[in-house]
Amino acid sequence: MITKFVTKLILAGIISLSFVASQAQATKISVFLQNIYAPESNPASKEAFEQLLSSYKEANPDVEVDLIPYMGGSQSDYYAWLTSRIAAGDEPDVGWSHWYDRNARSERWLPLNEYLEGPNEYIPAGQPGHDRWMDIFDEGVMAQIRHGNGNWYQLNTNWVETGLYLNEDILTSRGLPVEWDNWSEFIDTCKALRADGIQPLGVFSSVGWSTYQWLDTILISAAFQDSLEKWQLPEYSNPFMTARQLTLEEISKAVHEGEYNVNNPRFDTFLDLTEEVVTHCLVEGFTGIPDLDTVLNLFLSGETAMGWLGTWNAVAVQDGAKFNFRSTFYPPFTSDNSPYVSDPIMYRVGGPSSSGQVGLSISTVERGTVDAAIDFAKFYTAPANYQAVANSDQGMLTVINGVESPDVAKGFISISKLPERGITDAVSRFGGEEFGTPHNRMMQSFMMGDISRDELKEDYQKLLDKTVKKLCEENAWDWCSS
Amino acid sequence: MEKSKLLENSNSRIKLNNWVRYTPLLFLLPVAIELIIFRYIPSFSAIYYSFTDWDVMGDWKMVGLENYRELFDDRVFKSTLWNMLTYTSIRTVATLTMAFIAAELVLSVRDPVIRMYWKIAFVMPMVMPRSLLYILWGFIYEPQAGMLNEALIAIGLEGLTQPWLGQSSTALAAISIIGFPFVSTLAFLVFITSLEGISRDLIETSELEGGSVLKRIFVVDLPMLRAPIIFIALLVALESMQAVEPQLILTRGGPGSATEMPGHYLYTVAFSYFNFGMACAIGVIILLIGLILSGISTWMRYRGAYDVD
Repeated sequence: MITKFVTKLILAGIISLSFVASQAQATKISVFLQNIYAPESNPASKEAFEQLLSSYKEANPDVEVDLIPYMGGSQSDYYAWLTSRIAAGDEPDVGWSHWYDRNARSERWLPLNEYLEGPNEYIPAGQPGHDRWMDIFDEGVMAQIRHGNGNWYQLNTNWVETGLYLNEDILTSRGLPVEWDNWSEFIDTCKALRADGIQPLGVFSSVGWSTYQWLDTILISAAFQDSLEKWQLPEYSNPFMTARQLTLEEISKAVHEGEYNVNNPRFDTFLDLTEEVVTHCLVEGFTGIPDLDTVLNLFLSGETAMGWLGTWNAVAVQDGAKFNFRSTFYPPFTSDNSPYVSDPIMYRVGGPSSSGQVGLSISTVERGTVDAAIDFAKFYTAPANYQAVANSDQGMLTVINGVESPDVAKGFISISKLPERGITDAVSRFGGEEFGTPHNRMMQSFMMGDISRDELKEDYQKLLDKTVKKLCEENAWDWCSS
Repeated sequence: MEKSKLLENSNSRIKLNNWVRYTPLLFLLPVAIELIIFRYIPSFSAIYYSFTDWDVMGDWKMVGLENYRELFDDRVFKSTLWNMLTYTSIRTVATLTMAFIAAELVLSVRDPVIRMYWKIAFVMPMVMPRSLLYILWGFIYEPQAGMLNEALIAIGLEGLTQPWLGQSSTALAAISIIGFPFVSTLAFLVFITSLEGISRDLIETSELEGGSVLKRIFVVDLPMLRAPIIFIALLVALESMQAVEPQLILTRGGPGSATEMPGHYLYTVAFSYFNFGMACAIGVIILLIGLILSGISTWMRYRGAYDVD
C-alpha cells in the first residue's frame, strides 16, 4: 500500500517537474502585424493565421506566439501605443513600422542584415531564399526601405499602390487608347472624352486630405524635376535609392534660398500643368466630392471613364464593375509638358506601405527572444506560408518572390517600379497641416477660378515664407541665419 | 420669561430665514464652480493667450498684437467674417420668417386636437441629431447623384444642376439653407407659445374692427412678439456665428474658403495647425462680435418697448 502510494507520488512529481521544465523552456514572443491580422474586420485573416500558427506550433513546440490583433485607429494612434509600450519595455518582439521612418528607426529596431544574408530553412532547398533569405524579397522594395546607413530594419511583404482604373468599354468604344506614351497623349484622351460628354477622371479635392494631393504632388515634382537632386543634402543621402523624396530640411532650405519660390518659372509650369488637367480631365464638381468612396462609385456607375483609386479598391472594383476594366498609371511627363524634365519621367504615388512592414524590436536581444522572433519571421515570410496570408488580404500587392499577388492587384505591379515622388504631399511637405491646409485651400480657389494666378502667388509665397520661418525657429538649422 | 421666549422664537426664525436664504445658494454653488472652471477661466485665459505664441505643448511667449495683426492680414480670416455675416443673416431671417409663418398657420387651425397634431408634426424632427441632418443634406447636394440634382433632372431642369457644395458661388448658400423650411426649431415653439398667450380680447377687438388676418398679424401679433423675436434672432445669430458642424461634416470650409467661418477656422488653427495663440485671438474676436450683437439686441428689446413703460 505504502509502496503504491510512494510510486504514485514519484510519478506525479516527475510529471509536474517535466511540465514546469517544459514551461521554463518555452519562449514566448509577441507579434503585431497591423491590419494584416484583423480577425474582427477580416475573418479570412483569422482563418489564415490560425492555420499558420498551428503549423508553426507543430514545427516549434517550444515557442509560443502571441499574435496581437489589429486594434483599429489611425497610424498616430498606433505609434502612441507603441511608444508607451516601448517606454514600459513591453513592446511586441515583432512589430509594425511605417517605411517613411526608414531613416529614424535605428534606435528602436534590430538590424536584420546578417539574418537576411543567412538561410531560411522553411523554404525548400533549391528555391530562392533557402540559401539566402534576402532573395525572396523584391529587390526594388528592399532598396526603398533600406536605411541610409546600409541596414535593413524592416521586412516588407506587401505594397500599397495607387493607380488609374479604366473603363475599357467607354474608351475603346470611342477608339481611344487605354495606354499612353506621354502625358500629352493622356490629356488628348481626356479632351476627347470631355468633348463626347463623358467625365474623364474621378479625383476629389478637399481642403483636407484628398486624392487631388496625389495629382498635386506629381505635377509639382515634374515642374521642379531638374532641381530636386540639387536640393538634396548630403546628410540625408541614401546610396541605395535611385530616387527619394526631399526631407523637411531640404525643401525648407530650397524655400529659404529662393529656389522653391513662386517667382521661379517652374512654379508657373506647375500652375500650367494644374490648369490643363483641371480643364480637360477632372470630373466636374471635383471640389464637391466628399470622399474617395464617391470617386469609386462614380467609376463603378460609369459616370467617369477613369478613377484614380488604390490597390485597396481592387476587390470592390472587381466585384462592382459591370464593364471591362483595367488598371494602369499615368504616362511620363516629357519636356513638352515641363521644360524642366530632361528624361521622360513619372512618379508613383504609393509605396511599401500599409500592413506588411515588420521589424524586430531591439529589445529582443536583451529579452533573449531574438532567435525565436527571427525564426517566426522566416516561417511567416516563406512563400508557401505567406501565400495564405496574401490571399486573405486582397487589397495589396505581394512583394515576396514566389507568392502570387491577388489577380485584382496585379495591374499595379509595374506601377510599383516607378520612382518615388520628389516632393511629397502638401499635408506632409512641411511637416504638418499648417502648410497643407492653406495650400489645398489656395489651390482649390485657383482651380475654380476664384482667385487669379497673381493672387495665388502672392498668398502662396507668404505661406512658404511663414512656414519656413517657423520651421527655422523650431529646428535652428545652420543655414537659417544666412 | 416671555422676553426670552420671544427672543428664542425670533432667533429660530432668523435661523430659518437664513437657511431659506442661503440654501438655494448652496445648490447653485456647483453650477457656479462649473461655470467658473469651464467657462469663465477658459474665456479669460483665451484673452491672455491671444497675445501669445503658443502651441499648447511647450512654453508660450508674448507677441503682443501680432496674432490680431496676422489675422487681419489673412485673406482666409477676412473671408470668414464675410461668410459669417452672410450665413448668419440668411439663417436668422429665414428661421424667423418661416417659423413665424408656420406658427401663424398652425394657430389658425381652429380644432385644438388637429392643431396639437400639427405642433407635434413640426416639433418632432427636432429630436433628430444635428449631425444626421448635415449628413442627409450632404446626400441631397451630392453633385452626381444627389437628390436635388436628380429632382431637377426629373422636372426637366437639367441645366440647373450644380455641384452645390463644390463651387464657391453656391456652397455658402447651400449650407445656409440646410434645415429648410426651418419650422422644426425652437423658434417655432417659442412663437406658437407666445401667439397662444396673446389675449383673446386683443384679437377679437381687431376682428371686430374689421381688420384682415394680415392686418392683425402686423398690428397685434408682431408687436406682441417683439421680445421673443429678438430673443430668437439673437439665439439663431449666435448659433450661426459659431457654426462648425456644416464645415466639419460637409465642406471643411471649402471649396477654397467659400464656406469657412470663424468657428471652424478657430478649430482648424487650433487643432490642425496647433497655433493656439492665434486660435484664441479668433475666439476673442467671435466673443466681441457676440457681445456687440447681444448689446444691440438688448437695446432693441427695451428701446420703446410697450412692456417697459
